[in-house]
Amino acid sequence: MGTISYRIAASLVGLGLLLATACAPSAAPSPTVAPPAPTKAAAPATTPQASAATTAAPSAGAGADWQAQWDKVLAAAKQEGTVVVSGSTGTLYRDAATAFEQAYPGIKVQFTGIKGSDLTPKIEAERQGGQYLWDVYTGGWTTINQDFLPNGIVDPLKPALILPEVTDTSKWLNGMQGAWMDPDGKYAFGFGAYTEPTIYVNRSLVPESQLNNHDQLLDPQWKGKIVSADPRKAGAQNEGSSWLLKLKGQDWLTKFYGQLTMVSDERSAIEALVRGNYPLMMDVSPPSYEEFVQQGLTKDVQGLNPESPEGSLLVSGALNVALFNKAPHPNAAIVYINWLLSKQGQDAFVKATNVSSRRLDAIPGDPFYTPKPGVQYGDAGISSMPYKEKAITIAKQVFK
Amino acid sequence: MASLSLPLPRRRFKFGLNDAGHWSLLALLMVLVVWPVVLIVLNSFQMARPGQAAVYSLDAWRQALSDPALLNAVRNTVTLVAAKEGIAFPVAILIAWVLARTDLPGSQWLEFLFWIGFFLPALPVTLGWILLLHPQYGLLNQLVSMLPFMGKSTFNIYSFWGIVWVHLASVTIAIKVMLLTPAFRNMDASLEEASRVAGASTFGTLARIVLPVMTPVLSVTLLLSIIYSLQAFEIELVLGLPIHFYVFSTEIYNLIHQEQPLYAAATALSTIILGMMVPLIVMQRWATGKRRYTTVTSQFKGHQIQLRKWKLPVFLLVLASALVITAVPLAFIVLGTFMKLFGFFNLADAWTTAHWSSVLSDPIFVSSVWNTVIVAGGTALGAMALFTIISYVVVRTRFAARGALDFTSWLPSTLPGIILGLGLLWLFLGTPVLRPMYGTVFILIVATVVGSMPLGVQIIKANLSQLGFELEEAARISGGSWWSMFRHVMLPLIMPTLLLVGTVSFISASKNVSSVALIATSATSPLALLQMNLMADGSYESAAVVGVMVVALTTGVALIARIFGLRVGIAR
Repeated sequence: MGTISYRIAASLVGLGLLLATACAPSAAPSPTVAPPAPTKAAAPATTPQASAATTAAPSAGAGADWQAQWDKVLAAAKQEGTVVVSGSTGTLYRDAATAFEQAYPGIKVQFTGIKGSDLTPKIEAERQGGQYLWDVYTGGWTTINQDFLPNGIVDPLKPALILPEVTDTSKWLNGMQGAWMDPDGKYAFGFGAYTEPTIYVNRSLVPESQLNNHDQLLDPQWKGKIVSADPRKAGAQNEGSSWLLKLKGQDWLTKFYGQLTMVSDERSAIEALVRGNYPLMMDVSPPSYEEFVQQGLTKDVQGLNPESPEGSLLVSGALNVALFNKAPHPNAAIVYINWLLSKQGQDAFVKATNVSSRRLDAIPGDPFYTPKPGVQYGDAGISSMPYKEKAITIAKQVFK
Repeated sequence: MASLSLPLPRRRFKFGLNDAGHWSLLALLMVLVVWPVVLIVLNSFQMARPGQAAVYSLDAWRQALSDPALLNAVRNTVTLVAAKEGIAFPVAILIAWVLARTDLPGSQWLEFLFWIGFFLPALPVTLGWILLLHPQYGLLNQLVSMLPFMGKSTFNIYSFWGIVWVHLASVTIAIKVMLLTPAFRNMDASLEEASRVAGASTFGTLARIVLPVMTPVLSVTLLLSIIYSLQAFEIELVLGLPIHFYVFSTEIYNLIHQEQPLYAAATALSTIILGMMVPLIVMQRWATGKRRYTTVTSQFKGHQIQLRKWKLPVFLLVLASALVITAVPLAFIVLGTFMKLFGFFNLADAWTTAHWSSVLSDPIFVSSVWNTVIVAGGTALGAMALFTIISYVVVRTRFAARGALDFTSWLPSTLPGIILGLGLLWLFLGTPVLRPMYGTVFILIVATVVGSMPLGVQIIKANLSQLGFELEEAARISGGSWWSMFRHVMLPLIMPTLLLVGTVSFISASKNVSSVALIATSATSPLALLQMNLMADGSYESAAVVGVMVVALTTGVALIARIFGLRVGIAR
């Protein structure tokens, strides 16, 4: 009864054991499990601190100095051959990050899209086990401030900025000092600068005469008519609500939350808006919104009172960068960061995400998100940090 | 004739491994299962960040238990599980019995359809049902509203019963049919014949003979269903949030997926679930440990009950159930891959192959496929070997600590996948000998084997419980060694079950996201993680493409296993 079948089964088991043995290393090109020993070529300039000792001043006036430093770092980076980058989930962030390989063919980008809430325990556990596996962080600045800085996981970024086009403050919206997203102004650099409405309105359902300012949102007629991704979590909706908290106060925000209908994610919220199930929607991030824009589903959707103080925010979103300390490829990390903040790098990110860069000479993003001259936008930078936490606390009390 | 009430024999079988082997097996499980659980429980009391001196307190427990939503979540969880299992369990028993014990035409392939239902990923299935049952734009609602006297929103998926329906129409019934059908098939027909000769009706025989004999597998199936129900969160997250319907698992999910994840509080809540599950596991072992449930003996007789005039209606009913669970969601998942925007039928040019081109040409996709094949294949083979050894030691030997072995095999089911993954992360990074394996596919295989352990061990245990000892005795008396007996007698009998376990483990590993999310790297990332990232990105259509590839991969493997399994084991 099954003699032949048994032999086939035994062969499969044996094959499987061989396969399992062969499986012990990873299938794809091996990840860096332990920090590689620095090469001799890397010795001349291996750390951002060493770079800081010799790099040009931020105004980059000393031409030969920065060039010599850059050449050493670049040569060492090519020896290292890899830079390990963490970023937001999604192919567009990966596409943007890996555009670096075209500019520097000798250095491969090992990109991992991972949420901040997943990255933090991973990095903490790895470091506790003596594993230092990451070079560069790109993502939201909240993770940098709340998780990385208190645990000494990141190094100052400023000393790693070498290229003159990166350190030239005139190239950045509101100067370089406006781009730092940490209290000390040297760890987290926000290279994105785009606007988001705090409230989206489907004008085919709600004419301007019926709703034209944020205070009207508390009217009973809007109860259950404002859809939002979960306001108890970080995200664009939290940026919008934290700004409204700052301007309007806790009582107002509490009442406002009572008007909301929660959905699980931004995509569900946007669908609900464009289908006409809900006429109003809380702030969402541009990459989620963009797909619907491309299908022509948002032509009737506008920001509510976009040029008022409450109307729009200037955000960096997930477009911030930090440098992990004890990076396994320190020189490649420096080269990557300088490329990222150069015009070439910023063009790659704008092309992928379609939102504006903080660099004034980068290609423009979608006009819907591009800051307009003369408009005072809400500040979703580091000064908004306490309001973000408070807004989440209020949301948790309202949405029990 | 098999006995239902004789005491366990006092014989002692030589297993082929000596006691050192048994204790080594237990030690292995202690390292891979118990130690991560201990780390999780300990860390629920540890408040200091890594690199700082440890600080132990009850703050995380206070935080978890003082959440005002917790009591509501517990109440919702209990009512949801009761509603789901109250409906799914008897329905699944009937379907499994019909498939295994009657002359229903096409039963083999109907059974396979229920397997496919188990393979389908939960989130895309939920989205598919939303398209049908959304109160405003659901297609079914639009159709029904055309009927006279019917309202606009007859069905509302955003409701308690909407959540129950999606569970029933996805995994809940399918997995029970998968587990119960082979066990029903292994039942000796002489028991049923004796019952009918004594004057009992078909349903009387089912209720008074078949179900009691099937007690081990029924109790295990029910217990596993309850445990997995407690961990399910995707359907509740999507459908429950708009109506403020929260369950235990979504509370844990929310604690973890915050900007500053509260792992200590999440592990505290998970420990509470573990504490709640332990009495159930103990009760199940006590209830099934005192009696024998042998159904496969040297006089085994298979038999099919004739349905006669009931053949067509029963066939149509089972077919309809299978199609609702498989064809409907699968159709919408496949449809979604060709839509420019999932669910938007009214766009000017709604259809595209761009998502397929984009996914298939992505280099990450290719490496993810390869990683999935290796991880899932390694899991299947590892599970078949390891779970067989564990089950045999528990059921067929007198090893002093077999109770501990059995209990340990249940433990992974009591923790949410993400928490288990966290425990394994700490285990591998905190143990110097294991540290070099971090970043390889091996650690993913370990995680998915551990995750599959409760289900796999219980399936094989239930099967082994049905085999009479006289089969082994006869082989030994004839002069065969233990290994010869296992190869020539036991293995053919349990081969269909092993293939089922291997297939289920392969599928679980292919779909597993939660327990691998923290331990995978970009080089070892499987398809399920790629799908999750695409969903998080809002790229539902590309995620559906990956989902279809996962289903195709797992269906192909299941088909091969099924065809292979039909040629071995007990013939119908």
